[in-house]
Amino acid sequence: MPEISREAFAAWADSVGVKGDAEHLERLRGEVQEMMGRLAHLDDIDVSEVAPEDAGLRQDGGAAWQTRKI
Amino acid sequence: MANSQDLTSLTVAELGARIHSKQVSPVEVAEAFIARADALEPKVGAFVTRSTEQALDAAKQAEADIAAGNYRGPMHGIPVGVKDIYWTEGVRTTSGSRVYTDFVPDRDSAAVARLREAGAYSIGKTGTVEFAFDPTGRNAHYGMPNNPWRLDRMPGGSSAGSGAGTAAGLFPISLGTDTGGSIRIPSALCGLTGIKPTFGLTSRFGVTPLSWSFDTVGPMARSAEDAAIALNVLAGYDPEDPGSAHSDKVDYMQGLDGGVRGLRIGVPREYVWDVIDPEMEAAFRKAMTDLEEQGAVVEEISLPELEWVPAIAAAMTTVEAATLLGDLARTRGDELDPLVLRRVQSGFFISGETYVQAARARVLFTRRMNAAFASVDLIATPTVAMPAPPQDAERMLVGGVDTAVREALLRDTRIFNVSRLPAVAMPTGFSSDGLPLSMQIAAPAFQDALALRAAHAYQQATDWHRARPPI
Repeated sequence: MPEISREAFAAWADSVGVKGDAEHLERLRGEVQEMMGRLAHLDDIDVSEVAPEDAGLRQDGGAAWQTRKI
Repeated sequence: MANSQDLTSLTVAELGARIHSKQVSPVEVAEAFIARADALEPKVGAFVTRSTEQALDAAKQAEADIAAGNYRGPMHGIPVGVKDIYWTEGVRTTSGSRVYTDFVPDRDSAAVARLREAGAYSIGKTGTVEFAFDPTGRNAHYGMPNNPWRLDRMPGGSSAGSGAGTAAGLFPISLGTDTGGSIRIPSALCGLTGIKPTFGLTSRFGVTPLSWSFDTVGPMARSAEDAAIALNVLAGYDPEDPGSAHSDKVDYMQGLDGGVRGLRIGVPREYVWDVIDPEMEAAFRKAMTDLEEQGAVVEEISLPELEWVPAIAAAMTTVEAATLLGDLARTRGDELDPLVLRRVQSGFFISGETYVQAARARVLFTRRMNAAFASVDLIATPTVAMPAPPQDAERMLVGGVDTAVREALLRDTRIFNVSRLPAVAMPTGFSSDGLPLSMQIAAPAFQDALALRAAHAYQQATDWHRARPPI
């Protein structure tokens, strides 16, 4: 996983609506960089035997949306 | 009547038997635990909100019901520590967040309602990591509970107060939730027995969600027997939880004494041993020998797919948390713990394609795990890579490997979140520092009773679960 430069990360963060001071963005950059390195391993897994539509919950609806009531 | 110190050191099974035979009253039980919490809570810090008056009222009601001949079972009259992400009617539920400091639900979560129906009651809301999104037990708003075995060590999380409080005897059993290990990690670090049930077995209604693919509700207890007693109350279909399963009604106490003779226990050859504390591994190997002496057949199995677990869990949990908490992060991010805020925001950077790839890999991984159960009845691993770290530790040398504490705590528990299988964590001894060591035993889906049976058999042959911290 190539390093995400400060400039590239700042633009990426802006595009997904993440705001924050320089220190926050710098710590987030490090954590996102580390996470992306871990997630890159997913590309090595051959998932062709699992149809995308088989990858969710058994029931329709999926999530437990309890927080909407808070 | 036993003195209050004796009462607070008993298991639920022991307390329930004394209540049923009227050797002790529910009010005496409540008063004993309240007095112990009065004395020790300043050291332990397990609670966010105590419910002393409500607990005494509930104990009086239990006493009256039992006197009238309406005994409801072994949870009747038992105080429970309730993780502060379970809704409790009339009692605030903060989810560990400053944002919800004053949120008071108008109804109980399904699990709390089921416990009330069984005659149990909440003695207070226990500390959790904000939105249950970290395995250490840290909380920037309400503080980190202290590990009763060594107060300068982390209790593990996210069900930190439930772990610390049950271990310290502030209540005999508690509710936790487990998305990546949040029942089993504090159980391991605090010397408890905790079960992450099969996904869908227990209702999550009224529990603040973090990840709909992995969130699971379960008990944290002092023995496998107590966990079985609680699971009898908690398990069952609930139409209010979209992930709830139509499973067969099972009595988790029946067959608990069945032993392990003839059971085949698989121990993975890969992954688990890459990052492991030597004392944790030695205790695990000894536990396997103990189970062999009881007639189990322990064999090595190959599961190279275990290497997939960190990526699958990270992608799915982070995206789902960002989905559920993203609005909060965007609008009130300055009120969140910066660590939790960054973790939620991380999910904004993961593509939909990556999420679906992880979801498909999760199904594939589950199929591989299910296939492994064709040759063994159970799978066992250490619960965590090392005993309780210092509270401020970020990285540690674990078995000579420089590792992030968070990853070392999660790496083995997440195996059974990703595969959605039941897993029971239980103590296996103590480190040279006097800290609890732990293993987990997992079973095929909806065979939670089999995992509990193996844990109970182990606890009939060992005394580790009977040890109480010197607090």
